[in-house]
Amino acid sequence: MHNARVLKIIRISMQIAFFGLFLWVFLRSLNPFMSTENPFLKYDLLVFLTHLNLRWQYLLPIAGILVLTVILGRFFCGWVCPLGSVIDLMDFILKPLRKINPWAKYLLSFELKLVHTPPAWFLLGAVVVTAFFTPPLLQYLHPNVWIIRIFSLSSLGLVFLGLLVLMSLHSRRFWCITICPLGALYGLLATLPGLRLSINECSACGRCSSCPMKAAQYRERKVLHHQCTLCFDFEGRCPVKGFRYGQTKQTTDTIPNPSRRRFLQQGGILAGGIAAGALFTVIDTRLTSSLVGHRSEGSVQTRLIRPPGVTGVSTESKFAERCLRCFQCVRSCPNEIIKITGTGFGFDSLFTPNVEFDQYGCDYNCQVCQLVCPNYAIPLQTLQEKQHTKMGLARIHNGLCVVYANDTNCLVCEEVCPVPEKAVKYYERTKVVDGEEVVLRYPYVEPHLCIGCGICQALCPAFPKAIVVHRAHTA
Amino acid sequence: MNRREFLKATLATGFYFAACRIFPDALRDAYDVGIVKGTNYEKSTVEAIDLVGGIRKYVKPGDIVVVKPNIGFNAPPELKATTDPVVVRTVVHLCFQALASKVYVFDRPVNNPKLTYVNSGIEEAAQSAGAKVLYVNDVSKKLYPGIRIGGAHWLKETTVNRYILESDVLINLPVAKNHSSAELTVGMKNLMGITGDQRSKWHWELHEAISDINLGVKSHLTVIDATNIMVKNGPTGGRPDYLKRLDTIIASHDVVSADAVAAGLFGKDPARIGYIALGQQKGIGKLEGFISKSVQI
Repeated sequence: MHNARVLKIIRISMQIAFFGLFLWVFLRSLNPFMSTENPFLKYDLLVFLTHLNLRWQYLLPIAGILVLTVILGRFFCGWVCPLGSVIDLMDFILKPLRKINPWAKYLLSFELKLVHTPPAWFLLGAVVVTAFFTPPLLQYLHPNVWIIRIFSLSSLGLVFLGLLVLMSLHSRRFWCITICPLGALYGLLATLPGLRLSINECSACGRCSSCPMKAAQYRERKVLHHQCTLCFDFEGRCPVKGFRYGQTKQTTDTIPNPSRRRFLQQGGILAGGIAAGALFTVIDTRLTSSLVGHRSEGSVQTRLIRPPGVTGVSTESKFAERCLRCFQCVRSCPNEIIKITGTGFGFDSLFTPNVEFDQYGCDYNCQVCQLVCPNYAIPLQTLQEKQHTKMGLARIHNGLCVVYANDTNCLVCEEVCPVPEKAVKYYERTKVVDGEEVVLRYPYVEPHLCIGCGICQALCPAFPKAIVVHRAHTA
Repeated sequence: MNRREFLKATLATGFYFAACRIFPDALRDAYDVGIVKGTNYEKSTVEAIDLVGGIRKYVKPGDIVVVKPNIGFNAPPELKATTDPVVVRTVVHLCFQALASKVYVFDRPVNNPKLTYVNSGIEEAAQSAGAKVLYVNDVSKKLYPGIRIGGAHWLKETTVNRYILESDVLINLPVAKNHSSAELTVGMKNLMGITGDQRSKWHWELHEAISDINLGVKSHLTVIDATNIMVKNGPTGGRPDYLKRLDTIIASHDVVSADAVAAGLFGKDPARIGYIALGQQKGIGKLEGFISKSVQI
């Protein structure tokens, strides 16, 4: 095909453009005055399917991607996906290494078996089913989540990058072929008829087996549409220029016929994923309901303090369900108080953001985490609403507070309280200390005013902190 | 010179000194405190500094100047938790007019520095006038060397920002606010922003600490933004109805006198405010007996 070279150049420039868009958005999100939502997660078909954001702003771009995928094929992975671009970029280094990798040969034969019925479909089925319940498996598998984790230089992201390098050492797009559920979803759509790549002529030279997606099957004289990412890399490789991109013919002129058994296998593996996901959710729901009570009441008990708006507007279970664990809020918080929850707080809370007030409090006039959250797990409020939403409740420990315990005036907590009416108030008492009469000002917290922003905790001079914000349990 | 001329000259000199005694205000070229009322804050600031001798009295050509506004809390400028950006810009302008070589503008905010500097409008105002705005994120020993304060009662050792120690002139640019534990936060209290210490602990002996830091570091010129004073629930504020519009700018070479005048605007007796009284006791400045001049423009 004569214009494949042009298409390849367009493909590479699109990859650069979309990767640049990703970088631009990411760098902007580091500045609290320029924070932008990540469009790759916001307008994502898989996130949409699993969370059903029924807003028209979403529907239009997502429907556009859907229609384009059906018409053009699995273009997203080769043209848009920033993680795919990273994998392609890494290949400049990994390609020479792969040649000396002794294991690559063995893995290749294994991979070639997986190409037809990739386990990604199994994972796709499992992801779609489990997403309606907490916790979604999606967070561990979504490529656009992982790329944010990599770029935020979180240890989890770097571990994943290491795994990605290992996978790419065997074969360039091993992740995309076998694991990525988003790619599987687009691949599933690409099995429908539309404009697809096909092999017209073939001299059986086998050069097209260098295809990074292992989609070109020259022995069967066919291209696996669910794997082909339209990279148009075959130009210059195929000596007879036998590839053709155009409307798929329904006639089965390929040799041998696409077997029915394979179709059944493909369907079976997807159904198996759905079944496994459903089973997992049932077990998970049973387990957690026996531990913490019924989940659907929205009264999941945890002592973690969530970013602003979660405890006031949303519920803990809804938050755990919607949160993609992309670490965008962790990276964007100007005070760096949002931390990643580790183990020890249950499977639901693993890698979710939680807030610690030891260095800084949550700024009264800042709502960056709400602005950058791509899936509205941290609900988007107006600044006025955010300033009235409780994150928790401050409590003064009289045994630690210097006014109560040491008869020393302090009142830092009252001074720094950002609530206009002052949620920390004080009363005055005259007391005789060392034979001298002093006026002591004792602080106390007004619970209906306190929003739990934690500024008082961050600045409390006592050690350990005498005023500590606790999660306010509403249920 | 004949006898007649000699007598004329002697009499004239005598009259001049007598007139200085009788009408001290009319003949002075510089007062201790200048108070200017007016809605044009830029003009008011220039006028107030002129009343206390003009900027050239304080900033000599080639000086390195530190302008220390109050950028303590992240709040929009209309809530007056921070110094008016117009006042900051005007003072920086004046410093450059007096041929200052460098002007630094910074504070150590209680809230996030980046958010606070930008939201208060001071970063943009200071930079537009040509000053260098410094973010203070860390309180390392390198940026905050330790100093000893001779004659201090409580705060004998502290750390002070390197840029202030190395500067020639420190211009203190506070905003007049209500403050729960210090009663008022004006010029003397504003110097708490120059230290790298854990300031929360200073609250245990707040009045001693504030007067001691002023003993250690002198504000050469204090310009108080009392245009819209916060009378309640300070120092964070947070509501426009806590403010009282006075449209006043106070300038003084003496931080204690300036604070005493500002305390009068709040209807408080400065001698009863701990750190102002201690400031007089420790010889930082004059609580009373200074000569002030009020001007309305």
